[in-house]
Amino acid sequence: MKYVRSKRHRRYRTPKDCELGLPYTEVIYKGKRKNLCDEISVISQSINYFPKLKNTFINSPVMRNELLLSLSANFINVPNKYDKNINSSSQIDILQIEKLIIGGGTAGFSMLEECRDCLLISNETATDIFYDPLTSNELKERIKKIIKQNKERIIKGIILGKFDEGIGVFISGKHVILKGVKEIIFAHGGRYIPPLFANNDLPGIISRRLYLSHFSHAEKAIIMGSTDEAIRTAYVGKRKVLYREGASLFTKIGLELAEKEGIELIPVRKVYVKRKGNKLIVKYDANSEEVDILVFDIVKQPKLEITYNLGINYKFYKKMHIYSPTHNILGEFEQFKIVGGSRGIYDDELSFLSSKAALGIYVDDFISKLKETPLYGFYNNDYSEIPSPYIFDDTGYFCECEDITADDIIPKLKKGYTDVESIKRVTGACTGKCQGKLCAYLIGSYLKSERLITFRSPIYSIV
Amino acid sequence: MIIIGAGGHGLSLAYHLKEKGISEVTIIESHRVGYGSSGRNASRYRYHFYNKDNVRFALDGINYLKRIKNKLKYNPFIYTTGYLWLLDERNKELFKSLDSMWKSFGIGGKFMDCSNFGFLKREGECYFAPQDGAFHHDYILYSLFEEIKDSYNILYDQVDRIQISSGKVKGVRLSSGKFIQGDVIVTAGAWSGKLLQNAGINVPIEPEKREIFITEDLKFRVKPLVIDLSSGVYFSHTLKGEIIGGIDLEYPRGFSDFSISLSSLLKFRMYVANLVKGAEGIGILRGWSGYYEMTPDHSHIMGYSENWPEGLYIDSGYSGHGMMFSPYSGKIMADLVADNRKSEFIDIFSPSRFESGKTIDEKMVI
Repeated sequence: MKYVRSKRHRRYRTPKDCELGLPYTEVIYKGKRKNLCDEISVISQSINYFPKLKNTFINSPVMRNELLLSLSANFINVPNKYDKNINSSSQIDILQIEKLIIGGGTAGFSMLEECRDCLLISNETATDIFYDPLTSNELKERIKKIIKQNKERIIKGIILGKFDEGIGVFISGKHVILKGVKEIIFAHGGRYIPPLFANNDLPGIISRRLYLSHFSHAEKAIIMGSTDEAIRTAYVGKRKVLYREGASLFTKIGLELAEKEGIELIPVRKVYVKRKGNKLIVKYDANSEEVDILVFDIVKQPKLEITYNLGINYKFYKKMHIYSPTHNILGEFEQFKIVGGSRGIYDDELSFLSSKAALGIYVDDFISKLKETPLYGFYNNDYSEIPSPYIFDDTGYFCECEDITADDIIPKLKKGYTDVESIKRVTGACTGKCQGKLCAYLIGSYLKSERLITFRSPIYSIV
Repeated sequence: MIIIGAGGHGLSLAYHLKEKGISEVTIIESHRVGYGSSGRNASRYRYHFYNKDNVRFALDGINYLKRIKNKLKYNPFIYTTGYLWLLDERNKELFKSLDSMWKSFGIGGKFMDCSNFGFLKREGECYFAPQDGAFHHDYILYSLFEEIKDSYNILYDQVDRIQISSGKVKGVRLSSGKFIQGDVIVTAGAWSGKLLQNAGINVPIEPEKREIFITEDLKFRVKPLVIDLSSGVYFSHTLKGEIIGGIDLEYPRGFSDFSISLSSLLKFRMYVANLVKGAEGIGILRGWSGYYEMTPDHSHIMGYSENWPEGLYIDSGYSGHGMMFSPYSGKIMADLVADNRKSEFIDIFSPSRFESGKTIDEKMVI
């Protein structure tokens, strides 16, 4: 099983990124939980789908008929059963932790190296950097060494969020409440939000992470993105980079790399994609190209739901269109530290340094490197604005779990709903399986909304 | 006129005032449309109350809810599902007497074996009330909101104090320092008691925290709202595939964080897994909490008291069942404040009943 049909429009869908909790990673097949990432592939079936039901139809008088309403529940594609999970229990264990690092990536391990009394909880360990050939071997080896030397302080677990009882974690099949937590270091990283254009939900459109881990060998690929990271992605396989015109966040360092490697950076206004057999036809402005894979790496968006859920507010940084948790230039906020991708950092070395800087080590080095990135303005009252780097057309899917499209959202915007919470309530976006882990940010960027949604517990579904 | 609170009741009142052609209405909202109980409930309606006055109110209220469904901009997804009580020995007698009372109002249900409901993994006696149903709270709220948003002034601000002098309401002082003049109608849900207390008026409405959970999507099967009287768990399917519900636990009174408990989440998951066929391994997607707005007799408070300053009204305190009545209550309240037309319910549910002792004694809080 390599793909599923979507809930309302019955479109073919495959994972765009294998991060836990994102759409179409875990699916239910004949009652069993399957991870589509276990046998990831790009399907080549032709695209057939149900007619898209627009809100105008759903709100029509016909659909207020009770019988039709009851029947409508049968037309959505949802699992018919969930087989019993034999390990499932209602028991809650307690774990005493004073200093906690959330996240096992570059920043998390950099912190673990310094903080001898910290425990690190993560669902996965440092997978990303090992796939990027531009990350120095020295850094990769150092991370491997930290992992090896600190095995007993690394716990495989999933942060479930804040509860009345305390912070909930899922550790080796058990629900655990952390007690005695005095300090939290957020190092859970960021993610890549898919951009908006016609047919942006097609299989074959994937994130940088999935590209580097599974598809970098593809014969033909195009990268979409606005920061130096997109250039680094394009370096693998020598690809082109498309970015939203007016939303260039490349730095001198990135531009030099692109120049040296012959990576073309193309400003575009509009992108249109369709599938043809195994290939994707990517039309951008007046050009058209046939590719195997279309990769998005627009900007790195902190996984804000984790910091927000645990009580840290955030700010919309319009210069990059990222929502970033409250923190100072050293990554401090109250009893918390926010490091690496969790604060929007997308360069591995800077990410590594950010954990040191949060402890007062290599501070000058860190700040001078940070100054070279567009992130610096966040600490410097830079109120400049770019157009949304995600928007390549006013059509396409905002929310793949619930099949909510631009056609559903734009009329609501025109009615005067300009924040994500109201859009959620009038369209049903962000209420599906992933609970807004992608669409909240995309809708937010589209609307330039200062606020997102209330990211409630549990952050990942509890079975 | 000043309406405090843009939840279902405040917006419905505004909607009906607009229908009457009233201008100069200000709505004050502390957070956002539906921030309180209106945006946090399980969206079910029922006629089946313990007290006759509440049954009569429900008969009128739900008929009104159904009548306005085609007038609303958004489809409110109103449909009949029934309520299904899983009985235990302790409450069979109670339901027998309730059933005969309900029959006298034309809303009698049926005692039947639970196995008649194919989705249910429970044998034993059930009571099915087929008349009750479901709706979608947000679509009612936003339909009402869109009707009034361009006609009335909506201020997103906190009310500091309701100003009263020489037996008359003058207006409200807001946190921003602004003063708004006019008669005041309090539709602030769980916050109503506190607001009025600041003005020296005692209305016994207290918040009581409750939690709701929703599961992952499952093919639609739990049409009625299932209430298991032995465990206190209740749940039902939404048309988009989730099972939504909660547990009737001992919750403390008072304001608290809108957080949820991991232990009640796991309990809810277990009850659903044990009771619904095919949901054995289902997961919980999200939980949230909100307030029941509790009064001493578990019935709502509307209108005014003779002892109150002139120009002060209330429509609040519906424990957990306010949203379904909001269209109707807003209409009754609009008739009262705009036309001085008094529905019989204005007397029955008046705040003065706590002084006169004519309380309503409702026992079915779900």
